[in-house]
Amino acid sequence: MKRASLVVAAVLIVIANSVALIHAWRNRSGKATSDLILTDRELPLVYSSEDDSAVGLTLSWRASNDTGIDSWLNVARLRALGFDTSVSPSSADAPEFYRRERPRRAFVALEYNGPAWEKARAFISKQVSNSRDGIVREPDWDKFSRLVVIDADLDSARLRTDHPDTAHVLIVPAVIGIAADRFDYLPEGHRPAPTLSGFIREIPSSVHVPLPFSEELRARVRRNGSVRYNVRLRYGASFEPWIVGFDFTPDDPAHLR
Amino acid sequence: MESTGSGRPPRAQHEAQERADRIRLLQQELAQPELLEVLTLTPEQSHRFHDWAQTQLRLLANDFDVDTNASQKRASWGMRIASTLGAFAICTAVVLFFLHFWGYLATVWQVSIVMLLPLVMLGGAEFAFRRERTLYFTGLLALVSFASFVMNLAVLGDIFNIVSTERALLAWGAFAMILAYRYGLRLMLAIGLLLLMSYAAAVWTAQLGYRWIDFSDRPELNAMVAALTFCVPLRISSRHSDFPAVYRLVGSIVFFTCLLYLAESGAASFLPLSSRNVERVYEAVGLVTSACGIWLGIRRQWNGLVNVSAAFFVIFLYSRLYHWWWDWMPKYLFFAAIGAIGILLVLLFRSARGRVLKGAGA
Repeated sequence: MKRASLVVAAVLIVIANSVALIHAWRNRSGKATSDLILTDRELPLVYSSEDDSAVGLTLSWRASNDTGIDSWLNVARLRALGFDTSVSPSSADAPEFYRRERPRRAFVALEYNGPAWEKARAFISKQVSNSRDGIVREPDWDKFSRLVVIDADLDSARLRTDHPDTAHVLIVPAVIGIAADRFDYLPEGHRPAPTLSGFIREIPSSVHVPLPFSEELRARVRRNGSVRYNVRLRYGASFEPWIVGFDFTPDDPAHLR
Repeated sequence: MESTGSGRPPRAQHEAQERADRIRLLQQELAQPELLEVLTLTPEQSHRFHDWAQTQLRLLANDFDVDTNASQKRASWGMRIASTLGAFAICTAVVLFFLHFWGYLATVWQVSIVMLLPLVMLGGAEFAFRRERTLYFTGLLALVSFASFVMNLAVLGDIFNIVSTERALLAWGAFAMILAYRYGLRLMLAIGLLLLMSYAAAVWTAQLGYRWIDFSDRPELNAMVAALTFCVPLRISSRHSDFPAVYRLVGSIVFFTCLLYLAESGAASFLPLSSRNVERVYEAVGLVTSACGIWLGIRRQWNGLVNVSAAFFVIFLYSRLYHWWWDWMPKYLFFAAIGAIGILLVLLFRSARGRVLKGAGA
């Protein structure tokens, strides 16, 4: 009895680790929910400090019109995601009401290098051509991620049914927020009708790079300062990713398939 | 061993220290000239009392390693501060050391090291516990074991890209509580309570469909859990007689902090009122509950509760005055008014203290 609490403490450590490892095993066994090849544009390197020797990538994505507000996240979709949209955005109570609406968890679909990316690219190019005196310049497209959020749902299975291409559409958990915009910052007479819209607040983005990939990556960065690569990323049953393959010939990822 | 003031022998180090302090004070008082005028011991009585006091202090020092004079007490305080700071520094060093090298290890070694480290440190804490009475090294190693366990689950989450959940708070909180109760460590108890309170609020937040980590955005959940934590010692007793004060301290600080947050930011409330009205409600609730906390603490002789409640009462009061007066009142007049109210509070507390003394005298 004297040692009971000591044994309980030790068993708790073992159980907690077992739960984590079993969770990871279950995520990686069975059918993958997504399996696609991304580049350094979509998975840029995270530069750690000298105190952390780990190598990691971060999933880089964009909203469909690059303003952070996705037009497809309309009132009907927000209601389906569980938000209370009963107050009209033109109401005087709207800013306070929607400020109190907390972001909610859901799943989102990210399309890779598809029509949504072409649309986003066209939107940005139009902004460049409309800007006066070259204030907004043509961006360096080689650095832009081609992952674009195209859909959201509370049910991941329904989302996959709507977007069955596992090689070009990622289904990942996300946090979605809601905002009411009355355009008070525009002068009277130039304000559009108040709108209610959603935005993707967060998507779990961190991807750990294990050995031997991390060693090669570290060596190349040390030699050349920067590096181009392709990564085969797989998402498991719990929508958590792991790296299956790494390749440093960015124009020819064929052998990763 | 003779009993403590409560009629039983001391069972813990802090009880033994209180008894040693009382004996030492009694020795000092009996030597005072004023007391000799009303109470004179015969030489034999004086000699027997001196022998008894020395024997008691020696026994307490042998059994519980207590401080038997003022110099030792000061040295002990220094040791306590040094061991706590040292523990935090060692925890940081262990974590940074691992992070410095783990990227060069294969996954199987990473997982093995982070799993074994808290177990090894737990073994070290147990080893120290069986060999020392003052618990300085036990507390240090227990804290390092806890920090290792936190790093353990965090690193596993990083390696396998596991989406964070609130369940880690439960594991960490439970581990801290086990260490606290096994070794009688109040710091571990406070850490465990904070983690378990956070877990309770996080679970509730996740069930409502929000991100679990946003639990701090809903202070009312945290305030309810804090109030429950405060009440735990009323229902559950423990062999550690200094633990109820920790429950009350942690519960009251978190409770009042939540009320203060709501009094400043009403948008975080569940109440179906405008933010401004929510802030007013919680300002009033904060003033009333902190005043009740002062009254309850005085009545039950819970010094920690009196101090915390008094501090928050002043904060709530000054916060309200700031909102009322700052914008329109000349600044010199504002601070003069604050000072006058402070003096009034001192007079009020002195009057309350006098009534308590009178009541005790009667």
